[in-house]
Amino acid sequence: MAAESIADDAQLIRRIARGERQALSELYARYQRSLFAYLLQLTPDYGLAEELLQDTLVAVWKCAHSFEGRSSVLTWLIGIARRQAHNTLRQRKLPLADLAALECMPATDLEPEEWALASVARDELAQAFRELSPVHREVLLLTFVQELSYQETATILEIPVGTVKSRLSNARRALRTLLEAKEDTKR
Amino acid sequence: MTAQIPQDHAHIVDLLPAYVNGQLDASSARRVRAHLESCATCQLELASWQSIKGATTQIFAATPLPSAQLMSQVWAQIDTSEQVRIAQRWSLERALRRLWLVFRSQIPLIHKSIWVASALVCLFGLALTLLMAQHTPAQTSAAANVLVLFIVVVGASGSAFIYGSSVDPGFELTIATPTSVRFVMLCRMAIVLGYNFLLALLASAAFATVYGGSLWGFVQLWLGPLLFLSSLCLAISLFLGSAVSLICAAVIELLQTFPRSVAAHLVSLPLPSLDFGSTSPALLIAALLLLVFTVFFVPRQPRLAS
Repeated sequence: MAAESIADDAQLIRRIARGERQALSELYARYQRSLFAYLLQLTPDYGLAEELLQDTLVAVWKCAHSFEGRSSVLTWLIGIARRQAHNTLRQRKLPLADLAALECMPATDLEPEEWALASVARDELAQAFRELSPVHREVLLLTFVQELSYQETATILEIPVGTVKSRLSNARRALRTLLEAKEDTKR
Repeated sequence: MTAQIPQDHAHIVDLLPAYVNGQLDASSARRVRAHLESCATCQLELASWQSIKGATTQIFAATPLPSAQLMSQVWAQIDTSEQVRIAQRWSLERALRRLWLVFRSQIPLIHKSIWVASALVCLFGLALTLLMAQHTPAQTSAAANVLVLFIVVVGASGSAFIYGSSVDPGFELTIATPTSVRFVMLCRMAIVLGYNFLLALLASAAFATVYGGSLWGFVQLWLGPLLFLSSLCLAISLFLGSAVSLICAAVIELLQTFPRSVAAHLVSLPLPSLDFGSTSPALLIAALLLLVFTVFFVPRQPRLAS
């Protein structure tokens, strides 16, 4: 992200902290797509994702003064959205992905690809992506759509950088497993 | 992303997602490219990551936007929470103002004779003390004991008359209002005790000025006993009435002030060996416990009985 854009974002948060409503509207216009896409990966319920987005913006309005600029504004926003989502899902007893089970998948870094995901049609891959667990969708989205660094992703997910890398590999492996299962069904 | 690439193949694999995103610095990207030229496995890996990026980007592009009213709902939520916050602040201010009004309105309800009698008795005690011949330290100590006796008895008497149907002209009104009787009693106790504390402090200052010595040292002689006997008198006045309470306080304090040997000589009876001689943590805790007990007990008085 360009330095100018980062400074501009930080200025926006300072204006929100001063109580400028226009600044929150500008921030929303800038990040609504990113935040909403992220929340939709955590819950398939469109209405609930909107509710979580509202809660995120209210939280931003209330705690803008605590933004210290240690991370980028996008990282900070997604971090808030993630906390809101987890709190709400826990309160409503909605299922959260079983992280422990996912992290226990064996490391596959050195396992050669038997066939490349590149050979799969884009639509088919997109469909398999939708069937992934939220935890895997989340890490792929943060890395490839939001284009956050491993370090920023680790900050948001509150995990070590090494776990981000292994979770990415696991996500890819899960995608491949899903696609292999589809292939078997076709035959 | 500015990570350096180790020569290890496994770490090249780790860096491929960042390479796909174009987040590697120039030299790291060059080394990845060089590795890819000679490694078919990593070429497949790279192709997979590129496909994944393509698919996720496609999904992102197809993600619906939130509804157009979302921001107005956010403002409504923010406005509501701010109104609640303002209302809470107002209600806190209103509650504090009401408590202050209740506190202030207790002053005219306290029997006027308490103010006059306390001041007069305290003044009499001080005058008596100053008139006593005090040439030796023992005589000064005896004079100090007499002044402590007056101070403590004045304080205890005040507490004996602050609450109850027989001494309160506004008692019926008090128990008929929604104001907590506990709070009313505590307010009165604080007012009367504060007044007596002030009187005692003035008398002590006068004594210390005339005969020398530390004011704080003298205050310690009466502070604990004053608080304890005041709480005790309040409790007894609620159970047995103000007059009984006053007599109890006087007897206890007299037993404390005059040497036990003298008292035993005069009445030749076994006297209780109580020691409320000066301020001690135990005495202060006892005073507090008595007050808590009384505050707990007071609502069971006429209000509930009637």
